Amino acid sequence: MKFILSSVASCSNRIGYIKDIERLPGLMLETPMLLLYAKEYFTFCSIHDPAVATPYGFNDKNTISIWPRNGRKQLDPDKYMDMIEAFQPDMYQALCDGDTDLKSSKKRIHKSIDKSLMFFEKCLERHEKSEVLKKSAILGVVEGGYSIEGREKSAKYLADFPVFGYVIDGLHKNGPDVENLTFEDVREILEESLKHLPNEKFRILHGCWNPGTVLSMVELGIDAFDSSYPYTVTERGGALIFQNCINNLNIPSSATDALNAAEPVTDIELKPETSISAQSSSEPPEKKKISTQEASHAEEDKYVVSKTQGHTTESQSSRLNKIYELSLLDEKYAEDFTPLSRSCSCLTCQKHTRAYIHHLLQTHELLGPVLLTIHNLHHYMEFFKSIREAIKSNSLESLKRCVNERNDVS
Amino acid sequence: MPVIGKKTALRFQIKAKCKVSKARSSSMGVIHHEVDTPVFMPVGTQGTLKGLLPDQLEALGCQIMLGNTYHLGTRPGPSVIMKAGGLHKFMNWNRALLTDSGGFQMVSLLKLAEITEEGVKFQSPYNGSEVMLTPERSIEIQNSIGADIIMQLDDVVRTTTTGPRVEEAMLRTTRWLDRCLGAHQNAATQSIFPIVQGGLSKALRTESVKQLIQRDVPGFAIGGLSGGESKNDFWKMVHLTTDLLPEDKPRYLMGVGFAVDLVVCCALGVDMFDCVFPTRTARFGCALTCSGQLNLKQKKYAKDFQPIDEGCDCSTCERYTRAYLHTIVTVEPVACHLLSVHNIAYQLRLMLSIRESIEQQRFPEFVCKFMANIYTNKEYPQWIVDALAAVNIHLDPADPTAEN
Repeated sequence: MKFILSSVASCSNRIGYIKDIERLPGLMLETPMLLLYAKEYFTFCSIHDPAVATPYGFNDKNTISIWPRNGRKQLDPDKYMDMIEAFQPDMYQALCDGDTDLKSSKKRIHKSIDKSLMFFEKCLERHEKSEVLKKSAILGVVEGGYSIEGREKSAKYLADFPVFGYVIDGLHKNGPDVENLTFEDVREILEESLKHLPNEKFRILHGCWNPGTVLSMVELGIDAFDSSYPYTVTERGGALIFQNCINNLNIPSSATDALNAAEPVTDIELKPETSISAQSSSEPPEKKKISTQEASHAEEDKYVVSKTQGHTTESQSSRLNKIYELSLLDEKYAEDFTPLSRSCSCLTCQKHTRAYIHHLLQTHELLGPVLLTIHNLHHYMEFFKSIREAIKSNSLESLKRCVNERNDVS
Repeated sequence: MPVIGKKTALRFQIKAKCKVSKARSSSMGVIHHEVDTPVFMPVGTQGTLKGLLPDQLEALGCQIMLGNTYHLGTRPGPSVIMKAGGLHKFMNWNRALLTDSGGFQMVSLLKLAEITEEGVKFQSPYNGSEVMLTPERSIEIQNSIGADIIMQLDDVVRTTTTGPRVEEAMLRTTRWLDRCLGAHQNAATQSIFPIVQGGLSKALRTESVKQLIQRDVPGFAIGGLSGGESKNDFWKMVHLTTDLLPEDKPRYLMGVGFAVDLVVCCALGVDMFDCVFPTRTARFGCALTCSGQLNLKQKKYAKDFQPIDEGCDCSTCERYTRAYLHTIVTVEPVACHLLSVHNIAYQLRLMLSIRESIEQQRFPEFVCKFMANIYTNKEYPQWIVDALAAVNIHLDPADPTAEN
């Protein structure tokens, strides 16, 4: 496959095209893009799930650790490449040690750089010898934690190799907390990493960055992001409503709409107390019951919410949430019969209401996350469309303003 | 929109009758949709069906589904549902809905349920206070939910109960039916079904039917028969009851849903069924097929790259293999979704086959073939042989000279 920039004049604000994907001829994808695991996309293999925090300190001299379902596994470059050869992804990253963050020591950073370079060489060697990976693209992984010198060393070293592009790694340890990193935290390091990489190659940056930060990174010259952010938002019962394009009619998404949106009620005068339980709206969890029906309900609750929620601190996440998302678990949506977003064309917004989604989340029903995922992914993909349009029309600044504008979510 | 009779919100028309058994294929028109019977109604307990979109259900051919009055009456509560304009609007399901009375959950889920003439008294699971569910209140809540068909509050006893309690419950059920009918506000748009009780007593069942058919109702449910009773008692009660109930009104056998039971009870003249089984078993990784259940958690499916069922055209079988499903069942929520789609497709396709075979006068052949597929060694359970024989369908017996 090929990555072609529309203009190599500047590193930043770049539009690119991925084409000639052997497995999907005729498909052309524009960047900046969202890495999405869907039918009409190339498949990309990363090492960890960017939406799940990677435990710290489990890498050793020759291997890194991953956590599949049946317990921790250690991978060295050969084992890793065996798996890659079995998967045959269209694109993948070399094995790397990215176990660094803002707080890492110099020693840890240097270890991660040196190991990653060693891993990289071994992976590349296997890649070049491999028959089945002839159609796959390999990416080098830039490490260096938050050390300028480290970044320079790692990037400069990788710059000379015949790879398709790069993953900028080592900024965080994945998981929902990445949302709390601001662009300022990472700007210097990112700039340093990108400075020494060839302009014309593809760059990916993993992590649950919030939309404002994504825009700033696009400005610096990142071409692809993953969908861990909309996933994380869904997992905590959030619906993205930030303005995701420039010319959006600013339809207020306030819950006061509910007062006007309710359908006419039937003739029956029904007082709230006539619900089966006297307290129909307070929600303490159901006590454990003996019968099998209840037991399987409890099991269902456990099962459905097993992947919920990272541990952002309350104040940080609520600050962020207010800008970008609605929190559908909030009681105030119980009788809000408006759609998540009036200007969204996704199935959820066309066919369902906030009140219904609130109910589904309260009752731990699978359809809740299904509807939120449909909306959040759609909203986020539209965001990326807007990014590309804004770059082409030189209006990224306007988009930035629109995205970060506080929505009235009282 | 179907033509609605003057007094009721339901019109039932038999299209074809099996000349051998008591099976019949009919069309039941309610306000929101036309429903082909015999029908299997999936259970969308809390106003949703295991992650499926209403669109997906429509695409699967589902015409009617259940909502659960106890659960919905608790969360989100009748007030919210009313403000939404009824359950149809709340969940955006535009086809038919049926709600049960809430009584069964009362008794099966909650400790210290006390049943008196007034109603069912129990302790609220939220704050321990006493709550009373009366026939009037049940109907009131079901009125606000707005389903096309609603159930009377009945005095339900476990099938294993014996003694005078069974008769007491049966008689009280009739009295409660009258109270429900009296409290019903929406006769023009919602139909109440009474529920035949009487445990496993021929006399009590007969008396129950006799009393219920004196009331002006558009259909009947058969209750108290999906619990721990023996299959032998089960089929006999169903057979007896359908003989006694009027032919020109739908018969709804509550809580029955295993494929084999569905086929037998269609032969016995039942028109409507509901059961949580297909969706519940999907959650545990089981897929339903014509030859039985596949437990996809089993290791033997790890490298099985067929779909669940070659002959199934559901979206899951179109795209996914057993091996993939094996990897994700009970781990990824989407597995529940994928298996629910398949299991519902299976049940609905089964019902379609039943209806078509009745209409084409080959229902007995269909039954024999169906049973032969499930019981490949032809060792049919005796109750099935007996039940079918009672309506003149004879299964090929296992060859008595064959080696076991």
